[in-house]
Amino acid sequence: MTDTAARPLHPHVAADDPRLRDRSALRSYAVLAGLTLLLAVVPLLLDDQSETIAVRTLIFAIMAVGWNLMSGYGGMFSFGHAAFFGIGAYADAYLLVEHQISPWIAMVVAAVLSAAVGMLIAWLCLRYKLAGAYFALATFAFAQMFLLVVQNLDFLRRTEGFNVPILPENSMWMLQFEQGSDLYIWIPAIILILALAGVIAFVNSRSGQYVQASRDDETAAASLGINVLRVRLIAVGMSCALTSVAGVFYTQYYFFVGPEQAFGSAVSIQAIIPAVIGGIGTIWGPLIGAVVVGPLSELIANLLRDPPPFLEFMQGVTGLDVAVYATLLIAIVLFMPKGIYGTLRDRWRR
Amino acid sequence: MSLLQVTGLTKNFAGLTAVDDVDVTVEDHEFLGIIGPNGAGKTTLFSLLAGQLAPTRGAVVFEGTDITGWSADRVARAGLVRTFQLMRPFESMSVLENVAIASHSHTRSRREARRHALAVIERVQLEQYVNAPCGTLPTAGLKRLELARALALEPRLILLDEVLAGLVPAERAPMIDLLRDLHADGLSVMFVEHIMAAVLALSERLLVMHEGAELALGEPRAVVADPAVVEAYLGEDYA
Repeated sequence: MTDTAARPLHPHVAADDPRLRDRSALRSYAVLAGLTLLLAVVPLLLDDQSETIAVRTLIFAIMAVGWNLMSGYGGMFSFGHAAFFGIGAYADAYLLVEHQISPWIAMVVAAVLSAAVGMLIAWLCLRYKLAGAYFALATFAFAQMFLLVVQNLDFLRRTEGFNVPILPENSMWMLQFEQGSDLYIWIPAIILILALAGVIAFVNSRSGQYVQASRDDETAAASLGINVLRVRLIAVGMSCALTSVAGVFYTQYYFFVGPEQAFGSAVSIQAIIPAVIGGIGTIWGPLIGAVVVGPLSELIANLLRDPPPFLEFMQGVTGLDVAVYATLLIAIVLFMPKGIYGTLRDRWRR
Repeated sequence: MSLLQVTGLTKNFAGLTAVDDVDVTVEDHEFLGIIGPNGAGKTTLFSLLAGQLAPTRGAVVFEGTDITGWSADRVARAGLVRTFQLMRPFESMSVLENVAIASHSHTRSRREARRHALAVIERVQLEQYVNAPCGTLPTAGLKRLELARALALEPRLILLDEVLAGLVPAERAPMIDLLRDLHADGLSVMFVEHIMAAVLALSERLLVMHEGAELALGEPRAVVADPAVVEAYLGEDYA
């Protein structure tokens, strides 16, 4: 450093200057610690029925936390996260069924593969300056492409999908337990806690700050020395990797995965909805949204499976869940554009 | 060796030559003013130097390194930093966080970056807004924020694009004093500005651009008295 530049800016500010105090990361970790305790206790209180809802909610939450990294903090709105959820679900099914490989290893494989695929897609989109709705459409197109490809590949069993073979006994290594085991909640709960801890660390790191600056104003960020493409791809890689882990767990929990459950456009919507409802670009928004959407989706599924007499015509109707999400989404966008958490936080600050 | 050496710099936009064969140098510690009527190519020149645009022809040599066609982020990391006439704050961040983004170019540590940023904020006298969301800043504050972020990179050369525009006269004088202080402390500056009093008060040399080309370059008072310059600004009746 030359004296030319250094003199005007000599740092005469004390490290403990009260104006520098920033407890936000610390507060977030404290909330997360409380949440961990809560999640440790919850499984003990649930019956089998509500356990299914809890697992579904946790899967939603992991997907949405992943989606939020890229789309909320990174400002690159993905409408195709089914691609990465699907890579996870299928990597697990294929490796397990065809090669008896542990789901834990499948998680690593899926995460690396998803991150690589996601970064490639994002690189192509950003390379050709796609932004906003165009970026979203491009990601949607890629996810649809994956759906079609899987439906036409013999080694992925085309439209039939994979059934996970049932083992004679519980196995942590093969991530398979008797029905109703609390481990089916604890494992995704731990994944979610680790993911949230990762998000808190990331948004408070230099790279995380760079990503948010690039979202707010790309040109200004570049003019301040930020390699915008590079930091964006970091966010995309982490986002896709996390979403694929949710996919791995999905296959393990439901013992079956087919093209629509993995790569269908409804899956992309399931990654978006909790984040939008809870609050895009916030740490807790996706989780809060998942807590709303998870039970709701179960409620709808039950209603369709076993409708009360006056709603009998709805027996077996598909797509009602998406219709309800859409309605909810419109209401949120109209009345709480920053989501439940984002809106409440802003109100509380004022 | 000059700090910045620009030769034959040209930018064509589909038939329009926005910057036409500009040769200019900036010496270490120099304050170079740039004036010209609207559309003269001043901001485009900055964009070419700072890497937002790639030149059609010509070369930019900065501290002995040919940086022609470098990307904006690379140019900024090399020590050539610009500000924008239309302020571009990071809307979701506080003033301190905005500046810390630039301070992070020296350190990975969040704590260090924030400390450095606070020193810069004090330097540009924005301390009353340290933790305010940048959306609450008035124009004069945003102009200083723009300046603070650029300074936080500790540039060798700073390109200031109309940092006085939009300020009421009472706000101009303190800004001019600040720029004079920064220059006295050793900062090298290229300064695009319409407000002549400020240009004449600060510039050591003055470049006049007209229709993309260099019209005059030299000692400020001599340059503004040049009949060709007067004609470009006011029309030939006044020449």
